[in-house]
Amino acid sequence: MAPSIHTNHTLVLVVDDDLVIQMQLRLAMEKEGYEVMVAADGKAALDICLNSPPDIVLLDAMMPVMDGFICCAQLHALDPNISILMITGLDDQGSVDKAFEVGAVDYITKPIHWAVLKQRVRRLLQMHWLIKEFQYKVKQEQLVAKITQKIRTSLNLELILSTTVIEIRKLLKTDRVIVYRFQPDGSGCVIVESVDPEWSSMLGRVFKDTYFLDKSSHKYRHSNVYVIEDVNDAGLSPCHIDLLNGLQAKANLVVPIEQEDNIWGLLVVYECSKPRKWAKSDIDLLTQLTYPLIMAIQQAELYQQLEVANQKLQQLANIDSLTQIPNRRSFDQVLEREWKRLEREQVPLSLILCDIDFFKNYNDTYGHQLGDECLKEVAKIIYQVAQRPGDIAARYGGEEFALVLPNTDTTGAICIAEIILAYIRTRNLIHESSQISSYLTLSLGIATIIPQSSSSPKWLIAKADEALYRAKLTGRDRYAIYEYSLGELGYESRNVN
Amino acid sequence: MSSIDTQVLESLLDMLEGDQDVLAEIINCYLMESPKIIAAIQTSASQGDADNLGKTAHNLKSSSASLGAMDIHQLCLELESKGKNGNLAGSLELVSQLINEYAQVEIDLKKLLQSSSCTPRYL
Repeated sequence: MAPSIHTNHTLVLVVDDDLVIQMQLRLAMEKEGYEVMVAADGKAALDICLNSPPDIVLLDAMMPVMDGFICCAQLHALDPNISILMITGLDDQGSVDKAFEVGAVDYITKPIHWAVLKQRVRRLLQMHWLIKEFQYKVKQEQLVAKITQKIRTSLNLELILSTTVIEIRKLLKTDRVIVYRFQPDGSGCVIVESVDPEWSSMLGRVFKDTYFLDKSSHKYRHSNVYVIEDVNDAGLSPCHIDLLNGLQAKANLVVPIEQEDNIWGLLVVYECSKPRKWAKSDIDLLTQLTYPLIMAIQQAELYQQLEVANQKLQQLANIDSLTQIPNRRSFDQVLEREWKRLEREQVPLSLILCDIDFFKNYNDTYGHQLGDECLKEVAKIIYQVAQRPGDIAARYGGEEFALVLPNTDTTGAICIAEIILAYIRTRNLIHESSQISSYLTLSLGIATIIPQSSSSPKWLIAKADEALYRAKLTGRDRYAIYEYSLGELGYESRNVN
Repeated sequence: MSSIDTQVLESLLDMLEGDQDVLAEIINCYLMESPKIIAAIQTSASQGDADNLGKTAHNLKSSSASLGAMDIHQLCLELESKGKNGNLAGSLELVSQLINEYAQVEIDLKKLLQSSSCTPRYL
């Protein structure tokens, strides 16, 4: 619970085996307006402290079962902040010394002077509250520092928000803390939550009604914190009460998270078990936290924009703008990567270089615009063929295209080449100025290797290029193969019809 | 009312903000508890159980003082001291004084309870 300095609730534990004195002490404390619990011996006192820690303990020094000094030491060990007032005999300096040794903050002698007792208890309680408030302030500052630190070291908004709700719930000792995010249409969704398992979760819940929006446009403006101490006694509209009852809320605090004029969302704290008189320090904590939260949101949003821009840039850097398939740069990267991988795995890597036959004539006949259309058509075909995971079809340069085919031996590469040649034929793209056909044709050079450290991707490209040259020499509209195992004489060229 | 220091009772009543019903409750509690303690004191003294004598005398000492039974307080103090020191010489004599004194205190306190005003100031 937050420091009770903001409430009138004070709990006093009276421990005395003498029932007459115990009764007098209880009455004296009750007359002061405190709530009083009594115990007749040290063991019973410890049990009470474990279950409902008192603000102050009036402890008789001489008791059976467990004497006051042992009890005092154990209470002190249980909670060093507990205020213990020892009651000793008047003539007993030894007891007084012993009392301080075991952690009592003060003592009073028997017979009890009632005015002295009351004044001493008042003073000790004042001190007790001051210490508690100070400790709470320290915790609060630590929390703000922790969240601010999280924001500095993380751009992950969800992580920051999760940390925030968890820590707030811990500090306020409350049942549920959420962050609710508005959508442009006025609806909204609970995006993070920390909830005691005893209560139902709101995470992911969407609120379509305009309830939150209405609130946001009126009461939440100007950083107002919306405070409800008792849902059923706050003059709320029936539908508002229904909504809060549905959320098991008995009390809540709502803080808007505002960016300039725009309400991004809400930070909401719910007390589910009972109504709660919120302390000023609770409210202050939340308003104090909204500033770092807004910073975190802005940072995260900027980062998201940057990510999108980066992705776009990455795409621009790797995609050929005309054909929209991977460009030479991308091809080089993939070939390098696959080479290394397959060198480790010792499996074949094939490369097909592909060139449009008599493309210069095509451009001269139909103009560059139709020439571009032709490149797009060919790009589409080879892109469709290279569909296995790991395959890549790229524009290698000019009218030349390349296919990187990992885990593919010569037979597999031939198969792909044949599909490409068959595909282009079925397209029947007219090419009047071709010297070998009335339709557009392609020449393909295939090279396959199991990558070795003694060789390199450059070597593979050179060999595919040689094979391509050979396909051109032997009549075009065909593929030619270079096989490493066949050595320098290993050319084979085929025109598949 | 020679057996009761009325000033002590007055300050107790002050603490209780003049609530005489509550004062009566406290006195009744004392009258209920004390005979049991006195019996225990008597047993300890006759059996020569010094340790127990000290403890039981201590028990009666504070409550008696809190209601102004100062003679009982004094007798208890002596008995407690004898118990602590383990020297029980004369303790039986003190116990019989204690019993007599308590009889007087009981009478006085009961009178107090019966008096309609129940206000120590007018005793």
